[in-house]
Amino acid sequence: MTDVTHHMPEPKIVTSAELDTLAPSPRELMRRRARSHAGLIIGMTIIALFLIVAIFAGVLAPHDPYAQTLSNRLADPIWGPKGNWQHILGTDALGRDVLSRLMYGARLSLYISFTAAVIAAVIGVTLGVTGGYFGGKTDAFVVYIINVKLALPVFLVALSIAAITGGTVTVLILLLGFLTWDRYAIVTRSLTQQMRDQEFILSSLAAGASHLRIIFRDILPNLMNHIIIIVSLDMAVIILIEAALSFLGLGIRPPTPSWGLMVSEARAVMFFKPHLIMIPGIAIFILVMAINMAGDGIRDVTAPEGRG
Amino acid sequence: MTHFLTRRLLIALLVAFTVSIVGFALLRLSGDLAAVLAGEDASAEDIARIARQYGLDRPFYVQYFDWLFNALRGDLGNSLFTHESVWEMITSRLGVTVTLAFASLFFGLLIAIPLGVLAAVRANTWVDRGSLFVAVMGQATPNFWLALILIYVFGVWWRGATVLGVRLAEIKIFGVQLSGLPISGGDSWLHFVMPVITLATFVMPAVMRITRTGMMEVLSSDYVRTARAKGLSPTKVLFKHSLRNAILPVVSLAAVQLGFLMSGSVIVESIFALNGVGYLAFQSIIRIDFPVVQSILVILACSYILLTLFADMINAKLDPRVRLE
Amino acid sequence: MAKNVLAAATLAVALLAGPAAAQKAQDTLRIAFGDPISTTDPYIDPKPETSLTSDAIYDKLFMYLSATREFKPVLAKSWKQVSPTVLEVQIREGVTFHDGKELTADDVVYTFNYLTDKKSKLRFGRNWAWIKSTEKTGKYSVRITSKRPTPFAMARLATGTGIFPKHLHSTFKNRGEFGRKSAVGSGPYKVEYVDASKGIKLVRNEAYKSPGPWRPKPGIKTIIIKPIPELQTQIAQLITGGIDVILAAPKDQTEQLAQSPTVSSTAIANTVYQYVNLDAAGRSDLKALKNPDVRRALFMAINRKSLAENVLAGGKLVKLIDAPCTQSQFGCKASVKPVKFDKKAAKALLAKAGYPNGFALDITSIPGSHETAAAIAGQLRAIGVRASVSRLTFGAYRKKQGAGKLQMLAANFSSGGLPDVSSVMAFYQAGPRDYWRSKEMKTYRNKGAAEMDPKKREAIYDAAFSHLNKNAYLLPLMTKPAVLVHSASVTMPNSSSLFAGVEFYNISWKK
Repeated sequence: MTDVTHHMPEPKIVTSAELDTLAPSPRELMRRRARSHAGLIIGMTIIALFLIVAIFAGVLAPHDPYAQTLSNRLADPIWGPKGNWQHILGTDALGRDVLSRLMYGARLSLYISFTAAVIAAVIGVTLGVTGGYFGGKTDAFVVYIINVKLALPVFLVALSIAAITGGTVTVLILLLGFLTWDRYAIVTRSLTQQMRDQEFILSSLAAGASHLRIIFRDILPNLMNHIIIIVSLDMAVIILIEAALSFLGLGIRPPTPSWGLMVSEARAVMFFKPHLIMIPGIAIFILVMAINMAGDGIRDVTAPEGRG
Repeated sequence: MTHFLTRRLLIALLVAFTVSIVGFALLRLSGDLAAVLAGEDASAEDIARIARQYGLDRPFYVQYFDWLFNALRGDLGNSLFTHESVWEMITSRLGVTVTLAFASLFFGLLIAIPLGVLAAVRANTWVDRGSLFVAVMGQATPNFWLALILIYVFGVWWRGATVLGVRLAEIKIFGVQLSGLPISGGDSWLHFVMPVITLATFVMPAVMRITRTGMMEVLSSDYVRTARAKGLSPTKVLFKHSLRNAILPVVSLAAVQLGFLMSGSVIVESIFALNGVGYLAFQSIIRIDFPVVQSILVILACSYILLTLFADMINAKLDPRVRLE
Repeated sequence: MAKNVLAAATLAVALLAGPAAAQKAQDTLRIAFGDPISTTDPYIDPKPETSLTSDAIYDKLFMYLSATREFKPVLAKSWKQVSPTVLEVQIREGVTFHDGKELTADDVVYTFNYLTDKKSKLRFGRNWAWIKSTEKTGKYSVRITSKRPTPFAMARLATGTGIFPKHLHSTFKNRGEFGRKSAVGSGPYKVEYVDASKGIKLVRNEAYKSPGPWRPKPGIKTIIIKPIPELQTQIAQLITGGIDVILAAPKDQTEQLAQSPTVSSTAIANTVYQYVNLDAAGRSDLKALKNPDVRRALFMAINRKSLAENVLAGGKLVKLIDAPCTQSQFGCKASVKPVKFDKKAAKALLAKAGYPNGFALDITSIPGSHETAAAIAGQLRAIGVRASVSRLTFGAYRKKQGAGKLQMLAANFSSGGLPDVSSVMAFYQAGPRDYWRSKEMKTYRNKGAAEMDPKKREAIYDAAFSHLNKNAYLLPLMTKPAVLVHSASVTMPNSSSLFAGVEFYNISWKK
């Protein structure tokens, strides 16, 4: 939320095209705000780090995350009395290397949260824009659907879906997408309603453009900023929901390495090997925080006065 | 206003009805209820007999409407597993969940609103950034993880720990010995301290942000600038004119949060052994005790709708612009 | 500072500071239950934990001692099987209920009629469906007639069949309320309250007339049962002296807790065991399992000894088994043993069967077998079988089972605590549960259930289990003893007739 007046345009040769506006373009302003926004930079950096680890987990991880050695269970991490460089963060209850599972877990967390967020966005934006644009009975129906969704408890849906379909990663992603679309719908509906009565839409209608064209050409682009912000915050929420579902036994199936599952498995020994529950918990914490900071940063940069 | 109310109530009924159908379908599809009732070593004939006994062999829609007609007459039925009256089961546990939800919301607001206001007033300073950071931290902590950590720290570690020569167990705050914080059960207000801390951490960040944003908007509005220009004292400007309008979105958010708290306290209730509706719902869902689950679903749906309705009414009262819907 | 050293040190200090001694002075034992508490009635709520309280409150006719393999009298003074379908029982005189009224044949007849009445709508009513009629033949004698010769009749009556007071139970319109609002029996403990939040409070029945040392008057005066759903919270309470007994903790925690001087763990042998079942009939999509060589290869990749040592708590009491039953059960023997663990041979056999690169396998696990299933998945991955675990609730598992979707099942079974393998044979083959579809196994089952001569029965079951192992339909893994973790000031017995835990009257304070 930096004050724009602190950034005066630097003197430079201006072309005739640019002579029209001596003030910096909105995009240039955004870039400058972005460069000095601490939260955005820190957040993006951390996300980038996690992304690198996730993509190159195959190369970076010292062990196979599934390889179990029942004779070397709950080995100490490097700072423990019997710690060694073989297993820097120790091993879990089935003798699997914690560091490797942590790295592969990053991959899973990022993949699941991004895909599910996109699915949620597709569902939510479709409903929201449809309701906000067409109004009347369509809108009433959309509002009704949103309310039904909000009134259904998360875990009932999760348990039932997991039981009916068997709980694969694909199903989980779809489930998570279905659990978080409401915010997209609410925000896009409200924004679409506001836009609908504005001049540029009315003139497009007068020019004979079809509804679909208006939605895709005029409305959606203006929603993109908001959608991106919600996607980023949604990803954070999805990571937490996945962790909670795995904690309750409704999420990722073992032996797949997921941070939520690691926390759930580690609670069995939390009083004796607290690092096993702290480490994945902190990983979740840091990633979610980074995503939140980045999301906040994007919001600040693209719409400093807006509510978002 | 009456038209507004009746319309909302109709929507509420429709939503509750839909929720009960969807819940019923999901629940029944999630597992073989007759097999669960019949137990581990039941044969096919045993299961069929149980199915007949409990009316589970009838078509789904028949079972649903049977439940619905009874429910509308006030008979919520009995738990399939304990034979207790569903109404009694829910009402005896409602107190715990409602207390937990309201206390968490209250303390969340208690911290979040002043923090949000402070951050808005001192926008872009380290105070602002610091509070935002605290808010983000609260949002990033998985609540089940926090609950377990709290149990470990205050339930176990605290009792034996000595820091800088001081036995932590003997420290008292407001006359309460910290090592005396109970970690399970719900007999006294002390039992709610850690659960409320866990849930309030979840409530606080979103409220704080919305307060801050709303406050900043109001502070930079023409109305407030005019008031300042007129020479009104800053505190008066702050509280009388700004806060009232900035609170509007908070009310809606609080209602939504309360709704989530009521249905989302499953983890906290189970970890801290609080006998609330959330944990009852979870247990009942696992074993497909459908009379209990159905009733809880409908009650939760209705309370959620009523809360948002209530929030809308308060909004309408505080902000004249909203009334014209 | 090393986190582990810190953890251990603070644990030790915390434990020493616990008020365990105070509880002994008040003669009160606090036990944690994980499931929600609703009633003490085992017929309405046949949960393992309910069997512990109901056994302490309500007497049964007799009980079975697995150590000596004999039936001992409790409410019954003597009994006689006068014909294959008629059992005559003499009841002890002078036994009173907790409210002072005398227990007579009327109460026995009433209870059995309640159990066999369809209108009672009992979930496990089939357990007593073999009873044709119960008649009073005198003030203290009854005659129980079964529909057919039933070899396990006595075993059933000795397991979880407590006698209810007719004068109280019959007054309730909703019979389910009896075990909650007016739980009165004739057993060693009386009920003070049953509450979903507070738990259950039991007080020693001072007027209890013990039938013998196998069911003595209790050593502990008061028992309070607290509902604590989360295991970590239970452990935290045990560590800080909030409770004295935990009924079940996983292996690693049990061992860590027992390292402290103020905590002990006691393993108790019972009828629970773990097993792995395969879809030999080809009901699921995985047709590879129809091939007996594939099944044998899978079993050869499972290191049962490693599982027993590393996954389940109970130390020496976790024993490998050769048949899907435990030693305390009549008829548990298999002359042909399961395949031996041999990873190399397993891989070779798999390749020979046509799967040199393995295949994808879904392992289903249920509450209680998740750790074992996870370990097995890892072992199978080592020979190229890409196993993953579906951790299901009981309801979801039964649904999947009935729909024919199970490929490999890693689960536990308790036989309902019945000291007889007849329930085992029925368990695996009843309709939708049958993944063997074997004519031979069905024949063995029917013959065993009808044969009254013990020696002949044993031979039948031996042949059945040998056939099982030869064809690798099922791999018996190991026994799953009940492992109680408790304060060191409490002494637990090391055997029990209850598979869920231990008889309350056998717990005592350490001298």
